[in-house]
Amino acid sequence: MIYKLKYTDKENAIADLIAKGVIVENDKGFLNNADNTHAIVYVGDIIDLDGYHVDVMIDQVIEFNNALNPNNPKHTFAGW
Amino acid sequence: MNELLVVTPNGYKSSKLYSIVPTDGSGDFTVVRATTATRINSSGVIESVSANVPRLDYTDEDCPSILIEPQRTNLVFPSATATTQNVTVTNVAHVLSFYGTGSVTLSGTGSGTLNGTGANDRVQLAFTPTAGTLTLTVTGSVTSWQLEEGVGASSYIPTVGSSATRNADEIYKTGISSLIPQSEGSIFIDCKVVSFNGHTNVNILNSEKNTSCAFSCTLYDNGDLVVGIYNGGVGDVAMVGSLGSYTLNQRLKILINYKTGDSELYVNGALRDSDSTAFTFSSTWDDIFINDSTTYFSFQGLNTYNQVVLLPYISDSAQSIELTTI
Repeated sequence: MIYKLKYTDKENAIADLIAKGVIVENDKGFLNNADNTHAIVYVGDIIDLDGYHVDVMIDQVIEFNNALNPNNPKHTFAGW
Repeated sequence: MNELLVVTPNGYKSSKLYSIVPTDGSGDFTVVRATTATRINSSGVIESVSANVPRLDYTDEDCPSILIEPQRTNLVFPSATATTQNVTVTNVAHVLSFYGTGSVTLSGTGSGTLNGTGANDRVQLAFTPTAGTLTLTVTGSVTSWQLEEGVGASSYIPTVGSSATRNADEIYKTGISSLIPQSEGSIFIDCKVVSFNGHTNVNILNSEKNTSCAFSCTLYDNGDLVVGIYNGGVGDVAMVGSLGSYTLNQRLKILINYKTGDSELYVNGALRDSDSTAFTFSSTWDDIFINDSTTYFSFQGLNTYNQVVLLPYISDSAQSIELTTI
């Protein structure tokens, strides 16, 4: 699954991704992808659009309430 | 030498890198990279590789090596032929690369000019912009260009109408404790570090990804090759092989002879360190991760591998020196 997500800022994005199990923090403080997570891309600000944008590729269905489905995405995963 | 496991740039298929030893398939490695990627093929040409297929790369070599890279994103598009454009960037290390005889000049949040040297030569420029809009002004022939966050240009990521991400390579094998000597053995690794990816150290080879990992081999950018054999946090074996310095793309032949009370580290034809600490692995060592971003120490570099070999314990110093001599 590929999710294109919009947050208010990066801090909120990381907090939500940890809460939803997309990334995990180990006891050394490192943020690692969870086992099912293939990639997280912090796209960031996009010209002419508000919000902070993050793309996630994961082998898991997650209920995001901030997912977008753009017609002309500014970022893709290679081969997708 | 009665090898127990031999991994080389050899046969492969989707999601699998075949090991030469053992021949029954029990030591074949799993390959995960859910995106396409590129490599330099045996003709010296950039070639697309399907998702989950390992990359046998021929950059600067007549023989292939296994290319293992972290996740990267090409921020410029289209990438085949460069056009002048603005890119929104953050205040982190970036690298610009391209083939051709033209030039790219940075302005706005960055400065500098990268001049091409030939149609088949890749040039690169490392820089750290301020956050904001970076303008890339293209002159002349600039092809297969790439702007990415990180240190050291990674393999080319083609783009068309948007930026594009190549996922990190994961090459590992789990559940092979029967192939890994648990009390005494030897590990031979023939590899290169192409880039430290902004870290001071990168993973060469690791055991399990959990906190009770048994083994790690890490290269620091000051040339220290550090091997840890974990004994439950008490009396761990720690060997440091100091090379004095490390030049990117320098070939490393590493041999770790591990045995309770008698462990040795050889690198490039010399004994670099030894440790007489008695140990038992803190947990059964049953997995191998090669330069992986998901292990407990998540410092993935841009590395290439010619061999990873597990052997019975080598006690002969002359044999150890011969094996690791470049």
